[in-house]
Amino acid sequence: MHSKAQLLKLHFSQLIQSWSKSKLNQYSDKDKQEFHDQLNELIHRIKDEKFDDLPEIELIKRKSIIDFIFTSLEFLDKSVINTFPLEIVECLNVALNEWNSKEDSLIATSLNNSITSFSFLPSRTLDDPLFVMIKNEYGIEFKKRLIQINLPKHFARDYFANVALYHELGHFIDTTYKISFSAIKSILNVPVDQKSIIDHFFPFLLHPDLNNLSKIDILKNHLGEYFSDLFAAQYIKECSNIYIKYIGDTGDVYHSSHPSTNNRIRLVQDFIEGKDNFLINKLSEAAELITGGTKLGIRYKDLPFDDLKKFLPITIQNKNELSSLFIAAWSLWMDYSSDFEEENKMGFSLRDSKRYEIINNLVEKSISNFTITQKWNNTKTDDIIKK
Amino acid sequence: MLYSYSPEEEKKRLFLIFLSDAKNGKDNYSHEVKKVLREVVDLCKGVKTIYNIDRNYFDIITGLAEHYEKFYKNLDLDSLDSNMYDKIITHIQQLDKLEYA
Repeated sequence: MHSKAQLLKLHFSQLIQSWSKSKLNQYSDKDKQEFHDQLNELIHRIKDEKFDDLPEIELIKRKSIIDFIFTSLEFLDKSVINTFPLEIVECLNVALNEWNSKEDSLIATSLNNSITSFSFLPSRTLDDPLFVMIKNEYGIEFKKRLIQINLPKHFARDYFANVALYHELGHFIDTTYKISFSAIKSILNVPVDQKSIIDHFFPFLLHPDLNNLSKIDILKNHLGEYFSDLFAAQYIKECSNIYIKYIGDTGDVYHSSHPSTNNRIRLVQDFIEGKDNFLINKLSEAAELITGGTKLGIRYKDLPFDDLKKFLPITIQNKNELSSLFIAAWSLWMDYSSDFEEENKMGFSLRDSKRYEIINNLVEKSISNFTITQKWNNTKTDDIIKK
Repeated sequence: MLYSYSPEEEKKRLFLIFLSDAKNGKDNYSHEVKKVLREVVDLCKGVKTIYNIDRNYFDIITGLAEHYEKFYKNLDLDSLDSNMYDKIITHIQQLDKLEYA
């Protein structure tokens, strides 16, 4: 029998090797630095322990804690100054704080090679028992939880593809509050007059070859996807679905993990148009009951984008308008792309790749202008208070 | 993936460790355990609903309430003994089997 303590020593040595590089990380915000410092303290506390003297249950705890540190580093390493997509995260933070009033979460990103690898990693973010264990064992209390979001490294500063991150944030909110899980019973107890809607959005429920447990598993997955689509649509209208239809259109075909693309598009369309839809109503009701008042609703506005056409950033009036910049970028690209030349009397035609670069840069500038002004105003206010 | 991993399974695994420590008299874990069991009792008695139970232990709370309602309705949290802890540990270990039976 191999010694568990010896295997744990190997695991911890691997961590020490990784930490030797990660400990030099520099972040653009103090919350990540604080999280980093707490990891440092935790590592030093574990370093002081003699694994050979610990009973098996204590070794299992340490393994979980070391796994947690590794996962945190995977994301913190990619969230350092120069690689962290600060402007995109500023926008996501507005949405996050609307739904998570505790403001105890911290978005960290990992950049991946695949151009479709948008995902939210729930493994350590929501692991409250783990934080309880760390506090009990070492007296270290983490004030923030890392929200770990994967995005393609090629799109780290792309304001088109990254609309998908609003969908991923929707998964975080759903997993945190268990919204779609809580709505299952009310979906299954559908009144007769609404049954056709449920049969439409969950066609597998009518499948004769699926047993009830398989149906429930698929239902959980599909409800989670529908909720995340609706969550995203609150902020970025139908932009995420425009992109999904291009990169992964399944038409009317559903998979066990995801509803059909056509059903996803229809649900979002119903939401945007304010149609009475049983599924939307039930998800929104569950959200409202669980969060204590926050329900699904239109939070975007159609910003005028004449400034973008003149190569100028859009002036954002308040933080709630930030996500609407993504809608402006998509609208400009899809429907008014040729207006650049006309508006600026250029006399020549821009390449599409140049047009793409201009729009991306202008959106980023619009966000950074707003955030810099905000920080400046906050500093001024602080100074006045001090005086 | 080299092996299967599920965040909810990890939570169950940690909670089983907490139960084991609570059974062995570690107060800092028995506080957490009782907090979760209180939620199960409240859900079984109708004091709480699926919408306001603790989201961190959602699967454990709803699983125990669904499959062992009678037991938790009558559970006295002030007199948890070793035998009771063993029963609760068995219940949680059985949850997956019950879900996929």
